Formats: sequence, structure tokens, C-alpha cells
Amino acid sequence: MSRAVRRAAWLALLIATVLPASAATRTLVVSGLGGEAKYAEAFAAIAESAAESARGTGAEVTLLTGGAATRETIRDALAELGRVSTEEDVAVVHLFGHGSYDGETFRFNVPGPDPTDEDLSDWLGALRPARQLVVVATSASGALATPLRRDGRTVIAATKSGTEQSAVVFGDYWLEALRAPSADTNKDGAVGAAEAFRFANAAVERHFEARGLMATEHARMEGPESGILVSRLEPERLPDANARRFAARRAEIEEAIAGLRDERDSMEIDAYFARLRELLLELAVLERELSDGS
Amino acid sequence: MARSRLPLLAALAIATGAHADTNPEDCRRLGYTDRQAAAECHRGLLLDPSPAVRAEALWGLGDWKAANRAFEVAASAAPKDPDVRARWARLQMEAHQDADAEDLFKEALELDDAHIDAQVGLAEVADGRFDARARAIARSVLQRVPDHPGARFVLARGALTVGDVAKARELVLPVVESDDPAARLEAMALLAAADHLEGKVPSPWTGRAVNETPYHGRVFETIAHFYVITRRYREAVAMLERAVEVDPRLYSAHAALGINLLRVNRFDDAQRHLARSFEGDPYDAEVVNTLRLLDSLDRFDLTEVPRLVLRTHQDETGALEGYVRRLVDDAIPSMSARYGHVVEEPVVVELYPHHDDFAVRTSGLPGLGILGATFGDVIAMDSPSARGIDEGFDWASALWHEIAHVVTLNATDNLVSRWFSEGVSMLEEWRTGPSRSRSVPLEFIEAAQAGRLLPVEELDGGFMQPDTPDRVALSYVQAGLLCEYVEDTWGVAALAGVLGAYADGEDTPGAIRRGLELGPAELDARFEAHMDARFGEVEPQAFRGNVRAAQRHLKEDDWLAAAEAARDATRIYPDYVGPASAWPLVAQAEAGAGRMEEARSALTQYWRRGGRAPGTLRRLVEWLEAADRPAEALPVQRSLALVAPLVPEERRRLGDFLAAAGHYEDAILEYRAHLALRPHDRADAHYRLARAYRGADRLAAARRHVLYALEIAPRFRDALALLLEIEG
Repeated sequence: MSRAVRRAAWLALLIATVLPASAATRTLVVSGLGGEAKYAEAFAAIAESAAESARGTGAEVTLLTGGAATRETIRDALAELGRVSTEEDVAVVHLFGHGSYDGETFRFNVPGPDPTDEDLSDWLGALRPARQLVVVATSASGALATPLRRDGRTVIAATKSGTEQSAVVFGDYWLEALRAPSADTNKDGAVGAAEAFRFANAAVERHFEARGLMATEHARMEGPESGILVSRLEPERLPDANARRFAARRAEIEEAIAGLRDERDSMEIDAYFARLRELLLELAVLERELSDGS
Repeated sequence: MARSRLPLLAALAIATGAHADTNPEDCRRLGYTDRQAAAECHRGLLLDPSPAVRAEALWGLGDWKAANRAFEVAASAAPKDPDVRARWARLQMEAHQDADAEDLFKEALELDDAHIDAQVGLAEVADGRFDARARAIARSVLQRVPDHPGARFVLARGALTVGDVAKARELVLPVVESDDPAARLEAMALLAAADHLEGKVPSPWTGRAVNETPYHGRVFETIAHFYVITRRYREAVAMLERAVEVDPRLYSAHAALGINLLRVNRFDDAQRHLARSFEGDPYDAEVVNTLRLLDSLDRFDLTEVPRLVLRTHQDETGALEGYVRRLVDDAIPSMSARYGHVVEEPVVVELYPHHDDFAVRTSGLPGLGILGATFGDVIAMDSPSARGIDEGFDWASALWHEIAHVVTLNATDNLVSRWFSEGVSMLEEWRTGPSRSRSVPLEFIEAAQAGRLLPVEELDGGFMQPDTPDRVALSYVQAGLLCEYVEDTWGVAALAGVLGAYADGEDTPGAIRRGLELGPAELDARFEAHMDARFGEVEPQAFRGNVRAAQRHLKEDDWLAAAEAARDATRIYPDYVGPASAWPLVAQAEAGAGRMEEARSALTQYWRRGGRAPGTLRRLVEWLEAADRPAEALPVQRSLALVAPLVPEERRRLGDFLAAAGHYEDAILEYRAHLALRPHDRADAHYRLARAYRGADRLAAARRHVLYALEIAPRFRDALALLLEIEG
């Protein structure tokens, strides 16, 4: 990743926490057919947990599970999401369950007719938010990575292609990512989509390694490095007067740290850490004052 | 290589002129005095109308591929001829294709079940695999043809392998006057090897062999083979260096030299000789595999510290170095004190993440365990990543075992018998090692009860010439129990006494008499009585029956019945913590019944008796944590991290336990290993390490790591607070 891209990603993460007050995150969570009862129950449980986590971030959530998750209800829910959202909003879609791919068409398995890659592409294409996240934790979901690609949309698929058709464990580890403090690698008290992806992806690799099995799924993330929150691990502090007073300075320091990190390779290492220490000490003092004040 | 050579060689044959009355045997014999003349002789046979003769000629000229094709034609042309198949098999043996050779010898025997050369050939193939059938076949051949040199050589090699030098001499001496130079020279080589095994050097037989054939490097190669068998690698290297000096074209000696140079940690020289071998003989899989292994060593780190030279894969060094150093630092003084021998040289430890790489390092050695191997001061082992952690590979105990070999081999200049070295290593694993499991396998108890144990004088054969598939495994345990019995009866000084006797060149009966003041037969009798007292009442079948019943009850959620059956099994054999141990079943049943104290207690028994299955230990730690008993959880977590040192979470958890208990330096070791394993949450890993450094008052390191943590995650509140704390 180039410095400029890293910087942009870093700033995007900063911005993610200071969205305009009017911006909203609107989330649709769907669990499809399980085939066997154990899968159906597991998919529904994962979907409910993902919905709960999304609510914890302040998102407006629509949850479709079991018999309620059909081609029509998914289409209608996405149409409604498109109708009520604005360009400033964030749209998030989670699909859990089984997918299939016959070499040409991906199908998300639900009761009744299955939505295809073309359906999903059309319905998602009507969404207005500039920032979108689509997580497809199903077998064969890699087949969706290209059809769903669009500016501003991050697509996370449980498999690298449509040919990986075994039932996936990615969804289980995605759910774990929504709860694990270690998934929050930037320690901002919340788990962003990219953080959750990296956590789940590493956990899937370990899953197969630990069992001495050949991996039958390889997750992929396409599109921009997404800081869209999928879970909040610590309650968000209310933006009281004290917080507002220091928020601007904190953002400045964090930006300075991001800039300093970009310069790391061209600096004397001692000078780099001396400057980093100065900035971090100021941030630490600020953080302590914020904590003391709240 | 061979595709285009036949016409060229045929042309040469025309140029030099073929001798109508010459046969391949004449050419072969000529090779022992004049190689140039032998080559001309072979070329003279290239246009012989018989494909079998042409095959021999091509073989004599070193063109194995063309010779192989010619033998194929010869065999098709003479489908009922066993001789062609037996000779073809010999070619396959020379080209390292023992499986094909075996098939061809068998084909020959199907055509003529009394074919002596095919029978001897089969015996030689078996001998190369250290298979006891070799000697049975050779003995049957000698019943029919008492003077057959090949059969005598097979038996002599077997005798030398287990140190029966007198028997080997008796078998071979009559062959020294043979008319056949090949047989004569092989007899001299085996007699020279016998002399070397007895320390009678220089042997007159080497001089006699070289006088007869100045470039007969095989005499030195043969001596080296028996030095390798008896683990005297430096002596083997010296002999192999002499072999390639005498005959630079002896590629098998270059190969053996390369492989044994690795065993004495001379990697550059090894590479040179292996490459030379490959140039001359590209068919030797052992050489190809070893060269590949050497290429892969670019990705290994070499760490040199007092007492230890460590070679580890770069991905594993950070996680394993601390543990290996500690194990070596604990083991060497402990064992040196017990056996009265100080190891002066650093121990070289190589840990291979791929079992195949370790296997390459140990290929060609008989009866080695599959966990590790020691070559003098050099230990080669599977790294913990070579096996899944769920297999419960107790690598630390395996390393401890190998370090004990370093002590016994060093103390005796490699003269210690195989059984005693293995016995001491097993004993140290059980008595002083990191796990101290005393779990004798049920199969051993059954063998002991069935009277299948070997007399101590034959115990080396249990490793080198196993008579049954389970003999090597049984021999390890028997050797360990014998040494344990000696220590318990006469004290550890008696073991040191036996070791000292070996160092002075005594054989097993002599070492036992000197160290224990009784004969081997009396030791056998006492040991048998001891085994009877210890295991006579153990009923393996009843144990297994109870375990099966417990498993069945668990499936039915019948916790009380399961607990009762599993407890019955533990009463039969409480020390058993191997696969299908009853203790975890007791724990599972008690937990199912809601009796957590009993469940914890059962798993604690399992752990105390040396049980190390990671999943079971993890459960015990979690149960102890849930019961708010961190002081009891800490040593269990230590065992768990040791048996699963490459699992980042286990190293982190141990670090947490240690830090909470105020053992900051130990915590630092764990957190550093955790970080080296590239955990997902690197900011958190740096923070924990910084916190441990802070606890240990190592503020500069604490500052460095908290800055690393915050560099990754500037909003990390705990790290920001720690930074303020460090800065005062």
C-alpha cells in the first residue's frame, strides 16, 4: 500500500467517527436457508448477533431470517433502504447462509426462488449512499466480488471464487470478530469492516491449520479499505462540552501521527520515536483530561 | 543421459575391436586391477549379439539407463531365464532402486525357487532396510551352499551391526582366499570393520585391500558404515574422506561423507561432497533430498549462545529460542551431575518444521525413533510445527531425551551401547524431564506379561534388527525401565558406573558386571520379577473395556455411569495418560454431572502424571480460572505453552498469568514469543510486553514497546495511560 493510500485510509478511519450528525448507517442483515436444521439455526443466530452489533453502532437495522428471508423481501428491503437513504448515509448489507454457483450464476439460497448475482447487483445498484459495505458469508460467494464491484463499495466474500462451494466457517469467525477485543486492532473501541475481515480471515486460516485440513475457503475483500463500523466494543462517549473542546486537538494530533508514520522510513529512527513520543504524550494527557472530565 | 550413448559406444567397440572369447565376468574382474583395460574390455562387448551381455557391458561402462533398457530387452527375449532377472536386479540395486530390485529377484525365484543369487540378492535388499528377514534368508542359503560368500557377508554384516565381532570374523575369514576379487575385497573390508569396531587400528586388512586394488575406496566406506551404525560419526567421516581420496569416483562414499559431515555440523564440506556425488550419480534420492534440505536452510536462523548452537526456521526462532535455551541450560547440568560427565562443547539443536526434512537428516540409520536423533553433539528434531498440536507432540520431552544422548555419547566417546543410551534417555525423560510422564504403553505391559521382552544382551538387536513391527517401540520402553530399575535398586551411581565401563570399551555383559556386580542373566531375572510385581496385576483388556464403556455412557449423557466406568479404568492403571487415557473421561463425566471440583481434580491428576494433550490442558486451565484459582492454573498453563509453543494465544495467556503473579522476567519471555508469532492484534502484544517490562523496572524497553503499540493504535487508552505512567 502506498503512503498516500495509507494516509487516505487513516483519514477515512478518522472521518468515520466524525460523520455529519445527519448521516445514518442503514443495515440489512439476512440469513438464508440452512438445508439442515443445525445450519439454519446457526445462520439465524449469526444474523441476529450481527444485527445486534450493528444496532450497537447506532445503525438502523432490518433483519430477515428464516421464512421471512425470501427473494421478494430482500428486494423490498433493499428498495426501502434505497428510498430512505441519502448519499451521505452508509449502507451495510450482510448475507449469511449457503450460496451456489453453476459456473455462470451465483444464487443465494432462500425459501422460494433464489436471488441471483444479477438480482443483487441490480438491487444494490439502486442504493444511494456513497459508502457501502456488502458482506456475503456464504459458500461460493467469491463469485459476487466482481459483479458487485462499484466505487465506494467494499465487498467482503467468504470464498475467493464461485468454485469454493463447501459450507463456510467464515461467518462464525466474522461473528467472533464483532465481539473480540483483539479484532479492534486500532484500539478505538470499535471494530471496522476491514478489522473484522482481517480477524476473521486469520481465524479461518488457523481453523484449517489446527485441524490439519486443506483450506476449502479463502476470504477476500474488494474495494476501498473500509472503516465502516460493524461493532462497538465500548460504549461511545457522549460528545459533551469537554469532549467537543478536545476533539479538534485530538484529530490534529492523530493526523500529525499519521503524517509522521508516513515519514518513518526517511527519518533517523531516534528522531522519529522522539517526535512520536512527544505527540503521544500530548495525546495521553488529553485522553486523561477527557477521562477525568467525564 | 543414456539415450544417445549406445551408438557412440558401439562405434568405440568397433574401433577397439571386440574379443570373441571375452565375457562380462572377465571384464568385471579386470576392473579390480586396471580400470582402463576393464573399460576397453566392456566396450568390446557392446556389439555382442546377446542383449544380456550388452547390458553387462553398458553397466560396466557406467551407462545405467542404457544397461537397464538392454536388460529389459534381454528379459523379454528370455522370459524363462532367472539369471537375467537376477543380474538386472543387481543393476537396480546399484541405481538405488531397491523396490524394483526386490521385484526382479522375486521374479527370478518364481522361475527358479532355488536360484541362489536371487535369494542372496533378496537378503541384501532386506539387509539394507535393517530387516531381520535378511539373516533368515542368508542362513537358508548357507544350509545349501555353506561357502556362499554373499550369504556369509549378509550374516557378517548383521553380526557387526550388533557388535558380535567374533561371529563376523568366523563367517568372513574363509572368503579372504577366494578366487573372486570382489568377494575377497569385501571380506577384507568386513574384517577391517571388525578390527575398527574393536579399536584395533590401523587394521592390516585395509593395507592388504589397497595393495590388491589401489583405488579400492570401498574398504574405507565399509568401515565407515559400521562407525555410523554405532554413532561414531567423526570416525566415519575420517574413513569416508580416505575412501574418496583413494577413489574420487566412488560417488556412494561422497554421498555418505556429505550426509555424515552434516551430522558433525560441517555444512559447507557436506554440500561440496553431496554435489560431487550428485554429479556422478544423480539417481541417489538420499543425496537429492539432502541437497534440497541444504538449499532450504537459507530460511533458517543460526543462534549461537553459551552451551547451544540453535538452527531454527526463521518463522519459529523467536518463539522457540527461549524454551530451547532453558531446556539445554537445565538439562546439561542436571544430567552431568547425575552421570558424572561434563559436556564441554555446545550442543547443536536443529528443529525442522517439516518432518520430511528431519527424516532426510536421519535416513539410513536403523531403529531411530521418529521424534529426534542425536549425532554426537548434534540433535536434529521435528519442530513443534511438524505435527498438529492435537497430536500432543511433547517436543520438549523429546529434546530432553536427545540431550541425554549427547551426555551418554559424549561420556563414552560414542562407545555406549544402543540400549543403554536409549534407556538413560527414557529414564531422564521420566525422572528429570519437563513432563515427567511415566505412562508405559498398554502394549508394552501386554508384551511383558506375554514374556516377549528381550534379554539385556540382545536388547541392542531390538533397535537394530527388530524381529517384529512393534519391537523398536517395545525396546525403548524396556531399556528405560531397565535403567529405572537399576537406579531404584543400586542408585544413580550404578548407572554412571555402567556408563564408565562402556567408556572403557566394555561390551554389555562386561559393563553390567562392572557397574552392577552381577551378570546379565541375573539382571534379566531380577528385572523380570520387577516387571511382574509392577505390571502383573494390570489388566489392559479390562482397562480398555472400562474406557469403552465410559465413552459409550458419555455419548448417552449418562454421567454417573460414565464416571464410574472411567474411574474403574483409572484404578486399574492410574499412570496411563496416553491416548484414550481415562482421566479426561472422568473429568468430562463429572463436569456433565455438575461436579466441577471432581472434574478439576481428575484433570489435575492427568496433568500431574504427565498428560499433555493441549485440548485437555486448555480445559483444565479454563476450569481453574473459572474457580478463581490462578496459582493452580499457572503451572498447567506453563505445561500447555511448552507443549504448544507456536500457538500465540497460549504464549500470551502464560504471559498474563506470569505477569499477574509478578514473574515479570518470565512474562517478558512469553510476550516476546507471542509477538514473534505475529499475532493478529500487534498493538495489544506490544502493550502487554511493555507492561511486563514496566513491572520488571526495565523502563527503556517498556517505553519502546508502548510507543510501538501506540504507533499502531494511537487511541489505545490503556497504552496511553501506561506511557504516562512510564514517563512519570
